[in-house]
Amino acid sequence: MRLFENPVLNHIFYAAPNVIIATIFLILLLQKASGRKGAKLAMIGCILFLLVRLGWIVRTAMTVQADFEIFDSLLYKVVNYGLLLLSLASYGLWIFAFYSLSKDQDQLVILGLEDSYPPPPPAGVSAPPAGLNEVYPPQPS
Amino acid sequence: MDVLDFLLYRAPFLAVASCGLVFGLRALSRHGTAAILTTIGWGLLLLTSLLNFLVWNFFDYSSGIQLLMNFLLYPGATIMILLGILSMLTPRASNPTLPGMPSNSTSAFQYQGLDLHAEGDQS
Repeated sequence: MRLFENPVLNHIFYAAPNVIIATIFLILLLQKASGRKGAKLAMIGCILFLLVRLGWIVRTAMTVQADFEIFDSLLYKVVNYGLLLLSLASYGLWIFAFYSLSKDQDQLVILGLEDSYPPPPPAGVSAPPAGLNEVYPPQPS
Repeated sequence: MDVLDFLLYRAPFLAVASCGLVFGLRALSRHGTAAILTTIGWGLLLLTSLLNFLVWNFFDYSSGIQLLMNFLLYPGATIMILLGILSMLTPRASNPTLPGMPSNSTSAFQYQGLDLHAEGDQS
């Protein structure tokens, strides 16, 4: 479905929703990054995703300007396959970011359960900590 | 249909989307909402890739289905995938809180020490 006569405008129109979404999420990821590896990978994935969309628009503009011989040229093939690989890499980075973050969460849960519960009594205090009395009230003797 | 075209342009995207779907399904038991979002996202992306392949090869491409894919399925898939990643970064409000542990901290499993001198205990 061609809404515009100009193929470049048409391409921009169809790419716009994804570009807007990726930009919004890139900003959100930058705000919540906290230096975690998964967050960095997701951000790189978003940047690659945006670069690929930009590259596809440039490629369309290139094909509009040139004649049909461009489809056989080395430059066109390199750009085409390069963008394809970058697009795949961005998806791969998102998968790896999710995997890395899920592994981080698992480790946090395991460490939290092993180290934090039950809470160790402070040094020099033999009685159970005050907070635990609310959970485990002393039994009447 | 050119097999080489399929292998170069369609198969890698189908493979990546399937891979993401598998990762999402594997995390489903441990990370509830985030894994569900990711699974739906990669599932939608797989569906979009399949539709793209079918439409490109067997139907007229210049139809309303392109609008559906570009403005509903594909953005929806991207939103779900990125929301899944983002919800892994945000502290979970629905973390299982155990007795004696603070529930409204940054991480529910982080030990913050007990207040031994709480008000009311001083008398």
